[in-house]
Amino acid sequence: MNKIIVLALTALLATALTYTNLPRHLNPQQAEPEMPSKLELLMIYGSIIDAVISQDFTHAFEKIHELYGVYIPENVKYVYDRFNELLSKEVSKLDQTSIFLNETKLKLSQGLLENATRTLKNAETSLAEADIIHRELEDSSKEFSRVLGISLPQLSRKLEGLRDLIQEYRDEIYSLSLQIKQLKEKEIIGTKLTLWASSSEAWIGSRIMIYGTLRDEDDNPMMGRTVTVYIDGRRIEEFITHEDGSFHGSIKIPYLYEPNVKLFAEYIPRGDDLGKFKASRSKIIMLSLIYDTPTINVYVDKMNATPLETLKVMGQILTSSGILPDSLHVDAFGETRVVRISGDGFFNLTINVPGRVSTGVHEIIFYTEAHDILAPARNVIRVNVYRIPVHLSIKAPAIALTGTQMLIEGKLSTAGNFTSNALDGELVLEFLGDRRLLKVENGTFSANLSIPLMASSGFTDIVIRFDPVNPVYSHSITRLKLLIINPIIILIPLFGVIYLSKTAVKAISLKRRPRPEITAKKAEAVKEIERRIEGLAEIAKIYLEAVKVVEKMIGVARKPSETIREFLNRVIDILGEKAAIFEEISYIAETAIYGGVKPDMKLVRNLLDEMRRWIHEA
Amino acid sequence: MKRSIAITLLLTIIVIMLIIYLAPSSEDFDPENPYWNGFSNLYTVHHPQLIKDVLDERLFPSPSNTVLLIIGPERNFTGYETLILRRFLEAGGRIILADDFGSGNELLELLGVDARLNGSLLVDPLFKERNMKFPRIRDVKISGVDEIVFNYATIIEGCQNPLALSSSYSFLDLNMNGEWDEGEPKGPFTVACRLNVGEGSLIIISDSSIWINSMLEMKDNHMLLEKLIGNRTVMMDYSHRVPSRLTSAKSMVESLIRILATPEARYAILVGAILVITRYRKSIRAVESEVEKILMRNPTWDKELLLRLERERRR
Repeated sequence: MNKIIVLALTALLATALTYTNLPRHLNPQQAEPEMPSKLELLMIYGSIIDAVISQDFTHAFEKIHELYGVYIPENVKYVYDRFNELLSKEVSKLDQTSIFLNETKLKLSQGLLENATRTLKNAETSLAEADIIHRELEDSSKEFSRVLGISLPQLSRKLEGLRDLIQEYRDEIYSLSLQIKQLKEKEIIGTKLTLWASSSEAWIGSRIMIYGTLRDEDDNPMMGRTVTVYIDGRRIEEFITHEDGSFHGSIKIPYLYEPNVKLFAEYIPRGDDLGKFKASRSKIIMLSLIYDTPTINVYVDKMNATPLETLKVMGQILTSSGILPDSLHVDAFGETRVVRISGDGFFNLTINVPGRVSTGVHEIIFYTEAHDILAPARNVIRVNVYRIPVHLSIKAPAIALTGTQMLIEGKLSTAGNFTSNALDGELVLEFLGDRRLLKVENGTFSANLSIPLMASSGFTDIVIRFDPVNPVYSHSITRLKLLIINPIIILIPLFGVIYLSKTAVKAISLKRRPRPEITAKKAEAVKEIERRIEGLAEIAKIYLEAVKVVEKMIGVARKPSETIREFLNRVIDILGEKAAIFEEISYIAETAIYGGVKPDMKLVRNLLDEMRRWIHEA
Repeated sequence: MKRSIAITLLLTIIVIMLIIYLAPSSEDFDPENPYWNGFSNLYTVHHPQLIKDVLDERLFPSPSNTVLLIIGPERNFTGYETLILRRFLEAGGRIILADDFGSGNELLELLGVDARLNGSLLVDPLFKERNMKFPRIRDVKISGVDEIVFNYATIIEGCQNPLALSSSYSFLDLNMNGEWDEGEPKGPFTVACRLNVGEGSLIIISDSSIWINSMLEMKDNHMLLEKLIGNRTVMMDYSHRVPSRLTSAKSMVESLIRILATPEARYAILVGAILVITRYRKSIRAVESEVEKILMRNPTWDKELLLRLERERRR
């Protein structure tokens, strides 16, 4: 017993030693739910509040969104979600307040006092809401820190930052409302800005003249004010207005390769004008830009090529202005090249198709970069890369016996011209789960294949794959069907069939009929035996009946192994005076069966009847 | 006696083989395994063509329309297989290698790419599914896939084009104590990567278990698989798995059944059965005729008892 325990422990230890590697996975259903890391969680809340204080609300919202991804066990999820919901609402209200405050400042700078008042009112409302939410947040922080195990003093310190911000916004609102009140007591004057251009179209990079005036709503010229000119939203130039409120000068058209752009001027009150004049913008002037887009014409000597082949490319770049780009860029088969252009715009180059390129359509891109009045230009040609198909012709037997060898010979050929060593390479031959590498020399190959003795009969595939050294040629696969015959396995059923056939022939063949002269007359000895057997059967039957009567009377059963004499000796004393009759029947039966004496059947039947009467009497 | 032992032994072997054949597989990543660690759900939905022997030219009929899944490989890749995989990629094929602690790095090395699986355990104390060993990956650069869940995963190093990143709170639990310790690298880490090889692409995912039955429907794990597969035909490498004893026994029984299904074996069984039945019937007849002879001499003897005695004597 002890030995078995020691052996079992050793086996267990050995098994344990085999599992030293990391498991590949765990059952998610059996994974114990874990609380989030307190430190990491506090870091997220800290970064949210810091982002709000620095007014980076986008970052704050990103971090709040992150909180919803944190795994929280179900039993504390409600408290966690509620706290985050309140925090999110508060940040949202503070963000709104900040937006309204900035808008108020802008409107104020533009002299739009009514609008500024309205937005300041909105700022006040959203700040009041933020304040209410903050109180709720402070209340829920106690329960929050208790269930999540986060330190309450640390969390409260973070929340105090939000309270300080609310107070800061409150002060700002008060200050802005004072400003508005003061400005309202004064009167703000409207301004009018006009703009004209010397031309409605212009070359890019060139200069055009612009003219304009800045006046107040009573048409008084505004002198010494800064007017900014924009094209498509880009700040182009600043002008200072003259005594009569006019400004003029040239502006440079930027290198924008767009057909049409928007030109306008803007006046924003600054310094002393702030709160005295309103901002204004001129009408938009649509300006058409003129530039030159080169045309790249390309000619390739072939549109279909094999790997390692060379493509000859010629072309010309045409421009309407006659100015040509310095260089042409060509992207082909994963490489970029810079090509020089001749004085009349012609260029030519050769492109080598790489050996390892995949087959199919490849794009060759020709492009020039933007330069001065020349816009970028592009042209694409498509080249089809193909490999020459290789035909494998193979001589191999269609049927083979197991335990023998077979010779496979083959030849490689292509539709086009080729030199005999061009098709050198390796050939992979797969047969009955075995893989062999064969060398191809001068386009031919041969191999001797041994068929295992115990291979089963049936069709099998011989797969031959050709991998050429020369990338011009394609890979080629051929599958041959081979019928394998295994004589050993075939012989077993064959013997079975022979045996069955023999049995069947025996069963269905006619039996010899006995000749009548022999069978009609039975031999005397046979007749005697038959008669004897008939007589014996009768006496045996009577004796067995007598035994049954005795068994019923005295309750002693005859053992199967007991002879007639043995049974009689056993019951004779029990039967008493009645034993004589059964003794007589036993004697007659014994002498008839074993002695061959003919029994007196009448006497035996009478004796049996007498015995039967015992039963009735009993 | 001897005969009864032989019959009992034969019946036991047949019953054991039947149990082995019918028992569902519990092998990791097995397409026939319906339990938590199997691939039966993935197999039912996508019907991948399984490659159970070596990776060969079966990949080539249409590489640009084929995606090959290599999940949790354990055996090393041969030079020939690497050559085949490289050609498959260059011809426009797509390979998805999902591995953490297997032989994926050997394949990456043989393919000559810079990316490697780190092999240390990735955990996330905040963004997780119940447990930090199930990190949730929320920065996925595949449209339609917002969040995926890993299971006992690692990270990828040397990737130029990450497809998914773990959170900045994740870390590598080098000493496996479930806590961040000084010196343990902190996230974000690359956990999925795309590498362009020739016309094709190799996608590496640093978890082999992302698509097992218990993980497939978690968050967008299934969507990720669908997006990576696209409209391509799916093939799955099953040749680099080391089968368990049960799986080996199952495949042996299957081989035996295949052998028994051949015409030669069927003929042999039929002939054997006929021979056995014929011999049995002959022996019954011999017993009966022997008893008849005895009864002729001793008509008072019990026939049934004599038959039983004769049968016992012949054993």
